[in-house]
Amino acid sequence: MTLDATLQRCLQQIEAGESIDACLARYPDQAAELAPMLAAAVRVRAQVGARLTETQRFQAKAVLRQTLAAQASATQRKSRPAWTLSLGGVRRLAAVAAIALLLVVVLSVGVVASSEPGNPAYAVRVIAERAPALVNPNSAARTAAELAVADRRLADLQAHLERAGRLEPAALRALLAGDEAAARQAVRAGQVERLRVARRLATHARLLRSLAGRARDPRAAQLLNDASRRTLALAARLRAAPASQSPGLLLPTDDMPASGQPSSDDTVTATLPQTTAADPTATTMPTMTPTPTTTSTPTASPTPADAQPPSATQTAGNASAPDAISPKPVVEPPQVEATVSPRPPRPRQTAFAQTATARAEHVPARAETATARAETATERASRTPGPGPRQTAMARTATAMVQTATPEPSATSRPDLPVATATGQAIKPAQPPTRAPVPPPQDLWRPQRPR
Amino acid sequence: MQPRLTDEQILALVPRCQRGEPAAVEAIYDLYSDRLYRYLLTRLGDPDAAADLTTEVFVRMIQHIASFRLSRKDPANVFSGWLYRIAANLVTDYYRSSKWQQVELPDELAAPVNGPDPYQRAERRETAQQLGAALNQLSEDQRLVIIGRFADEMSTAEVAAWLGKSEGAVKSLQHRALRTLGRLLAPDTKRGPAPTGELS
Repeated sequence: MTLDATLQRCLQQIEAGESIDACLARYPDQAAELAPMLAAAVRVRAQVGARLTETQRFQAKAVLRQTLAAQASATQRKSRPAWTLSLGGVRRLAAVAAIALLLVVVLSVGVVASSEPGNPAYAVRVIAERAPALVNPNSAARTAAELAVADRRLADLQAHLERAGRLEPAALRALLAGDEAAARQAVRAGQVERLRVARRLATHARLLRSLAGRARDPRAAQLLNDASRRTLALAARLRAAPASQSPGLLLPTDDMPASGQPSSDDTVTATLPQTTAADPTATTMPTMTPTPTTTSTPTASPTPADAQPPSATQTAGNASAPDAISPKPVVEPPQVEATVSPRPPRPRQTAFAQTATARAEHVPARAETATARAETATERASRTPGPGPRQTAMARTATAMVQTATPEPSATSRPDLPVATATGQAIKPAQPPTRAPVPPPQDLWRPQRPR
Repeated sequence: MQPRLTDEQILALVPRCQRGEPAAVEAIYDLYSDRLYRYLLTRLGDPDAAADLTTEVFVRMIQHIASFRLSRKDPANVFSGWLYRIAANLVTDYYRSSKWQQVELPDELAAPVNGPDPYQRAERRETAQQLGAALNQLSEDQRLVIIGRFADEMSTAEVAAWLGKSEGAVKSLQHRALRTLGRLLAPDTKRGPAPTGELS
């Protein structure tokens, strides 16, 4: 039998109540090895009597109850619904949300601020940079801010065009919107401010035209040209607008949103003036030398000095003042210095003009009658050997009639120059007749220089 | 001697204990407290420390029983092994701390105050010290086999089921453990070198 088997058997016998010596006596060959092992087992078994006292048990159970109570309250806190968070939980949640929101804002601002044209975040950057200008209550400050933003957009446009060779629609829309907004604000300002803004707009227009010349894409070039023309027209209208002009008079009606904001369409074509780009003639184009009409000429006097035809410069100058009332006339700068719009003549001017015309038409008739009478008298005098007293008196009367019928030149007029009538047609000035002797009939209407 | 817990009892008590029923916790305490106390006493040699750690074993049982997964196969031994692992961890923590160095060895081991005379009490104290030092020289499996077999009077099959080992492995562990203890507790090595292991 092996030692292990003998040990197991001895342990069973000891558990049954047998002594160690009795077991060892049964297995004398293995007794030397079995003795310490059985002694150790018995010593360990002697510890069986070790037990907790009742006091220790009572104290232990009290501790366990407290532990159970604490565990139950902790479990209730964990199982509480989310909407019944404690104050500390709400504070922690608010702090975490605030930190997360701050991170999102910081990251978003960084991404938007560093966005370049062509980036999806660039549109957000354009709006964000213009927002302070939109809410600025000061008109002059807002004008300056709008122009500054427009300058940045122009720089972005140029950089993207040079770098990527493409047009950035958002930058172009923002540029046009900024220029228009600056023009709106400048209308309310003084003449100096308006001219300053107009110069800035003209600068933008020149730069846009320059960019159009460098653009490789024909469509981009066309869009830039259209934008240049539009900005230039805006500057021209701003120069021509009187000081009391309301900002609405600068608003385009067909091609620009009233709000001045770029349209939501992503294409530039949708925001650029279609009529100007497609058909420039659709816009009212005034002529360089507007044809004066009877009613439009403000001359009321039939005298030769007042009847002179107005020069082209005068006409343009007179016509420039009421021009801004018209919303349509968008003209190209090289062709136009001012816009012309017909205005109905006032009744008093019309009456003056009609009277002057009638009197101008009546003067030649009277002159012809007097001439005929003078010829008759001269002929009668030539048939008689000597003029009788009656014939001489008739001749003098006829001469006086001729002098009366012929209008006398004014002090400022030149009798050697043709006289302009109210209709603008030049007629020869009447020759004052000599009193005596009676001049020959063929020299009667020859103009003579005053001596 | 505490009765051994059956599988049916464990299957009934553990879910109630997981729900936090004090009665179930106290029932488990009554069934396992003395065994765990003896185990801890043999490991520590200090009745007060063993009693404190026994209570601490059940406190940790309450704290962690929600995560305990009750096995359908041999649930009583699995649960018992879980409790002994808690006790073993506490003993390790105890020796890692500095408390054990300040604790004086007990004058008696679960003996009543009005029990043996001082000479007998001193002899028991010395015996307990020697036995505790010798048990600490064993491996954990050997120690559990010795405690199960001779302190808790479990059969070889029960110890095998408790430790999740075969009966042959338990017999082998028991044989090597008794040989080591016999050598350490022999009269000529009674004043031998101080036990090492966890105590060193």
